Amino acid sequence: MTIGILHLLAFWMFASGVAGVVIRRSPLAVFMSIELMMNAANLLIVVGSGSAGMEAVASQGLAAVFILIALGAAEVAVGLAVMMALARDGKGSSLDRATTLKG
Amino acid sequence: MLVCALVAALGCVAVVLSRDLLRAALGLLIIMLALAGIYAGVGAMLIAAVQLIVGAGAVVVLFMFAIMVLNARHEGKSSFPMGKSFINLSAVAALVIFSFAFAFAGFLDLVPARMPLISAVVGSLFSGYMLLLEAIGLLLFVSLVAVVILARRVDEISPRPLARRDDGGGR
Repeated sequence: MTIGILHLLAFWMFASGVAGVVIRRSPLAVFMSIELMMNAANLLIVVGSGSAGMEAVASQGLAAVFILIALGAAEVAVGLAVMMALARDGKGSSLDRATTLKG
Repeated sequence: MLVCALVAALGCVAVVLSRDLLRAALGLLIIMLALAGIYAGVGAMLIAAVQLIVGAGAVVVLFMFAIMVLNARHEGKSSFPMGKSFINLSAVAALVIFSFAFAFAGFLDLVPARMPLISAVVGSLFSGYMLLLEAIGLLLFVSLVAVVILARRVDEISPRPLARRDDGGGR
């Protein structure tokens, strides 16, 4: 029963992350929604690796989640630096104004 | 664990819908804490600890730091064309989907999670995933350098001609 609930939670988190990316305008809010989607994927990997019932599979899945969390931290650091660069150009308040990659 | 799942689901709503970015970051913090609780409840203790330290400790603090530095606490009106009606429609669709899903949730009853000990996880991290672990270390280092370059001011990256800089320094 609880496993089903956790699948639903991962689905809900990913869906609301997609909705946030589509709806929100501030780059920080969009970035938080991306973080939400990443956490949904992590949750699904943890639940799925546990439900295989084999300890070797589960330990490999948990190791993958460990690496994914480190990847997410690096992503946040780089993304926030990009956001500061955007804000320096006066485009930090809205993603609609940041239309070019060139600074 | 059911309580943690409910709290995380409500935190998602807070992150997506709140106009105040600081409140959205607090919602993200609540989600991270609830996820750590879920991981601990499932039995993945190592992941729960890492989620607490990295997710709640580092990521959310970075977000709050960025909000304070950019002074971007409040967000203007959304420029999304359909705005409110889109949100209402998707909320109704989500409710329908979830009522169906809860009706079938009993049939998703799987094997109770049997999670390995921390030593097994670390063992596979340092044997099969060794190269990946080193790559993550390299990636963190490269992203550190990238952040330093991105966060510098533009005139520091491409310096002005020497004569003008000397003028400024002489006085």
